[in-house]
Amino acid sequence: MNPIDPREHEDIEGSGAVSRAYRDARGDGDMLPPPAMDDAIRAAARRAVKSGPQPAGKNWLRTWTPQLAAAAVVMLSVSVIFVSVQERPELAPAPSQSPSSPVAEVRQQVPAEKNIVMEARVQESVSPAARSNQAGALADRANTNEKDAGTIVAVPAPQSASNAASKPAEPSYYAKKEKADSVPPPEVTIEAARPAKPAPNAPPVYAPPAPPALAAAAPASAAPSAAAPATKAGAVPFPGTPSDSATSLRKQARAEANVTPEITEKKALEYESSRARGSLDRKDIAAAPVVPAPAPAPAPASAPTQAANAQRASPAAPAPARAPAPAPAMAVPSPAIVADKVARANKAEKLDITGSSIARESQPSTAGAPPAKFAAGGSSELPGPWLKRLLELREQGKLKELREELVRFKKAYPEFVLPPSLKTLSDLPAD
Amino acid sequence: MTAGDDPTDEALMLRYQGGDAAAFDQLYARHRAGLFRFIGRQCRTREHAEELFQDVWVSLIQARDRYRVEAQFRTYLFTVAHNKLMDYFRRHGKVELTLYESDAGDGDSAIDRMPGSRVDEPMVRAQSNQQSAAILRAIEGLPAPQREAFLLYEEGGLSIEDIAAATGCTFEAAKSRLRYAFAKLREGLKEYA
Repeated sequence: MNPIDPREHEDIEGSGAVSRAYRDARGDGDMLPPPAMDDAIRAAARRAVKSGPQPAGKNWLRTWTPQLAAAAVVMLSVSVIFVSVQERPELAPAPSQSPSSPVAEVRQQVPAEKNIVMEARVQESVSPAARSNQAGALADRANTNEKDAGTIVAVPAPQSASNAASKPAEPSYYAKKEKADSVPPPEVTIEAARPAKPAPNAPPVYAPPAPPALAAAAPASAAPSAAAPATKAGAVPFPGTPSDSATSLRKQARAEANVTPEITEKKALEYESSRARGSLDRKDIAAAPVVPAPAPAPAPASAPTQAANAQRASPAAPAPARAPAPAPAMAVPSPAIVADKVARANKAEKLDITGSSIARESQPSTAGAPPAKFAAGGSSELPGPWLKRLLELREQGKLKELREELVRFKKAYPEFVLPPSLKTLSDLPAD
Repeated sequence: MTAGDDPTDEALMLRYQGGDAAAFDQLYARHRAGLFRFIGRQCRTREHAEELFQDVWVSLIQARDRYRVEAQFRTYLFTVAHNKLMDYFRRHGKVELTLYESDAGDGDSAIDRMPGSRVDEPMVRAQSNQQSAAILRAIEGLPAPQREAFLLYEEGGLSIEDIAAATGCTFEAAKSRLRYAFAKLREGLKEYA
């Protein structure tokens, strides 16, 4: 029974005798496992064989465990992403802009004039020579729009049209300024309008509280469907403010990334109405020392008239009825405060909507670039410097010139509330 | 050894791996006595020997799926038994394990370091024959590595190469252990020659 190789066996000297002696001595009968243990071991072997599928199952499990684990991880990840996107849609990748999106709706409400402005800015970024030609074309188109608007709204505005036509070749000051600030072209506005790409440094949209007159006029502006034709009807252009319109649109689109579409639209409307009220930052006014208005305008009675003025003053307003009357108890800043604000705005280059409008208003016309024409009457002078000049006239005692200037000023800015010192003069009949 | 049409150990193990319980019975019948003696002559008590013997077969049953024909089945079987014995030495005595780890059991000086002879133990005393008692006494007096090599050679029927594989040592070490074991046993049997 010993399978030892004979050669190996021979290698070990004397192993044969020892092996024989050991086999005789080992006592085969005594050194055996007990029969009960034999039975137990055999039974265990049979049990293991009868439960044969178990090892196969273990093998299957061992084989497929990595694949199952990987599949489970993938499924879990996809589920988490799906649930996250469902709960927070802003995490989803930005879809292609559709006309039904809120931003697109706001853009659709923008009158054609703003598109003209965008085209003008694109042309300005292309070449200066083409810019002057394009400006003339813009003035002509603006004149046409104005005439159309005048026939519908019955608010005569030939003066502004003539002013626009009289300076066709001059490039816009704000176009120059924005070009210098490397403002992106209009397509950037479209990009910024996507909700998934918030502008990190986008200035907050100014949302002034709605005045009571606006609330009174709310029924007229409730229907958005009526607002579209009204927008076209009230689209009396600001011939000198194309960049302002484009900037407001761009800021509106930037703010779209931070606010909900409803809020954005509301703020856009409020912004337009605040511009119609006289382009003064009510926030700054509230922060400034207040001079009480001597004769607050009765809002309910004068609302229709002022709404008409607002129509004339705000071409970008979607609904003319939304143009509110000034607040009855609105605080009026003193001329010194206004001048101070203008100076500060010139220095600080404020970026918020109303602040920027003030800053632009305060740009001196002697700088070579023609200022924007904010006045409904078509005057080329901004209210800030104009008031400053009026105060200087008053100090110099030139009352006759002062009254004439006041009459012009009131024609240009009928909604502007004059300081008390000037208002008493303007109430007197001119000589 | 198997003769004639008897299947080899490896074939029987493969059949058992495939679910043939009778193949295991054949394997068990072939190796139960030799394995039990191999274990019993290295353990201090029969109870320990039976426990280790059962553990070896249970391990074989549980590991049947991983069995691959890479060597003789008996080498595989006695390798499992060797490992169980090492665990046993770790639990019950450090001397044998030290001899294994230091490889000191290969020289003559190892005999001097052996603890006392175990011929007075019940298992050894059961041997009636004087010569048988003498050789068993001599086996008990061998260092553990030499004793294991001798038992693997006699009870397991392993070659020197298989002994080296089963005990985890080199061929030369296994051969040296076996040579020293035979030499000492031969010395113990001189008076009976």
